[in-house]
Amino acid sequence: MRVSIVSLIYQSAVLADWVHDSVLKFTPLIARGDAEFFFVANDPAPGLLAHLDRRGYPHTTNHNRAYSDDELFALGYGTPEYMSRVYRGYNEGIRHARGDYVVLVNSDNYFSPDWLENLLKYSDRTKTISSTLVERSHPKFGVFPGAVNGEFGGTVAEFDEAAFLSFVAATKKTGLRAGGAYMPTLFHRDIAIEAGLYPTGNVAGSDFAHIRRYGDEAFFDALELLGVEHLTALDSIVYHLKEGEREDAPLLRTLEGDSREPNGIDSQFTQATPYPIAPAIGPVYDPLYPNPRHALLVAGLLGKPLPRSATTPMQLLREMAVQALRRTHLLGVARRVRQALGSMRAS
Amino acid sequence: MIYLNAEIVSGLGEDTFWTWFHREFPNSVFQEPTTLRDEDVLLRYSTLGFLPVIGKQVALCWELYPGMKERFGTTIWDEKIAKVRETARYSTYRTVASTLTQGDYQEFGSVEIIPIGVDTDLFRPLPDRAALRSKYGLPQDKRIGLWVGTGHPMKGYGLLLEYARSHPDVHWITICKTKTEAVAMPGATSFIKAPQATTCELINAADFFLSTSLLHPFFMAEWEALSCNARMEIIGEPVKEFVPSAEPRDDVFRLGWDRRQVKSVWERFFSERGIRW
Repeated sequence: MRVSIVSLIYQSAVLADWVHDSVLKFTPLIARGDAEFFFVANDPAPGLLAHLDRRGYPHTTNHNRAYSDDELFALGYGTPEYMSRVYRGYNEGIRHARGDYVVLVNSDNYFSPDWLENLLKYSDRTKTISSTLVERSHPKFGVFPGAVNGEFGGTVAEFDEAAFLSFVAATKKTGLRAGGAYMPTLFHRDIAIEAGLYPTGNVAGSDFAHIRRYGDEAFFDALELLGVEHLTALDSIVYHLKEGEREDAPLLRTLEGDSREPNGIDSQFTQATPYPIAPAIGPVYDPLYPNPRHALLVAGLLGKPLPRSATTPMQLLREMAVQALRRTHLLGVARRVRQALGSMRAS
Repeated sequence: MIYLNAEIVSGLGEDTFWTWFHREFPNSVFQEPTTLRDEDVLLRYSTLGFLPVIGKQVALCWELYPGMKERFGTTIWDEKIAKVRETARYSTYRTVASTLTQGDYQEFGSVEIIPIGVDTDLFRPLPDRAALRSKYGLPQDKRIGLWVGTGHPMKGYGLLLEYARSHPDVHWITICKTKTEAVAMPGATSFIKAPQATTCELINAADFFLSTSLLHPFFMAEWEALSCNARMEIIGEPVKEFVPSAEPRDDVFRLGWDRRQVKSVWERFFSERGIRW
């Protein structure tokens, strides 16, 4: 098995059908036996498993242990609690995968011809390759800085497939650019395991509400320290409804005694876009994409209120500089040299 | 701009896909681009290998090396095959000329079938066979078979000789591209570097076209014979992409191999992909 495509699913039968059908339609590698697709039913809502079984969708079920905010903070993780369960779901998907490569996708993604082949063609153990995301301009979240704007609908019912595929045909081209979205992203399974998989939560700062590093950023940082470069394929194009399972969820339920939105989703975030989003900054920062810090920086410079987790613009600039250095692998090299010297001294 | 990267544009001064395409699409140029704009495209002959430029690229995977390797079980074409596969892998799009070779590149993504196109205006049935035989000094009272090829094993020259031995009544016309590739068939009327118009007349002077190719897809010479409505005698690889009917020229149009239809396919291809042509 060459590739495993994995989607988390919580509650929406509509999105389960949507992503399943889309993956199968545009991934001939599955029919040829070179790829597999399965769901991780992550803390599934009542009725979801029956739907997956009825439709014959391959899936594994992951019931997460519930951690309190204090317990998570004691483990080094911060808000929101549900992201801890999301990352544990991802890790369960990676563990369950039979492919040499793994692609994690969102259940509100829609694919296009050659999306997977065009990730694979650039791939090896030293690279993670993301698809070029096409997103509508979300009334609340805008367009992710690493994504391309395209208005093809915000729900499954609204989605204009023909227009999206025309857009793909006119847009896609051979090539890569640095950075990109964190999903869909293809990486080598062994390397992901070597990097320690996703941290099971956003990395906390001084308190639970203060995030030092989002979980997916931290995972990609770990990959980078292993010499794995994050790139985006300009010819692998995927649409993102940006509604997650919140609005297309006939199986929607409210957790008893939970004051947050259904399934523990905090109103400040969605499971698909776990950080605030602002318009793209511009090509000058392309090598640094994607970095939600950009959004914070812009917000700070424009005098807009920063989310609670954000630091000051100066701190953000310093972090961006550090990131730039990391991209040149100088920090990784320095760390390895230090480690080597340390072991020599010890021996 | 449409950038054209050919291995050989026209080796013998003949009107090839490349010369025809360049004529039909004035926005095309024979040049390796250093950059490609969104409205540009590169048509790259696959044996050249991938050109590492960001942009829309089309790999023209017309060579039949994978089939030759399978047929002869040799490694001599491996380097060429590697180049072709590299181009197919990294290009935005891949095209082949036959359904039979589509599977060779599907692991790299979707593969479009776009015929190379045959000049049906030039290669057409001609009326006066006797006059044509007279023009080229061919016997009037014998069955005439026509063979086009080289000494290369995939062309099946050995099959021609065997067939000729068992059909001594047939007079043969052989047409070869170059002197070095030419076969020397005893008793045959041989042509080397025959212009395309001459080839058309010779096809029309013959009673049948002998296809000895050991590969599945038809070669261009065979498409040209089909376009002339020549009767096809197939003794090489029996499994071809289609069985020619009693009116092979109709087959050419039905399968979209005439240049007019091929041009329409390219126009649609470019329009759908936002390429200015």
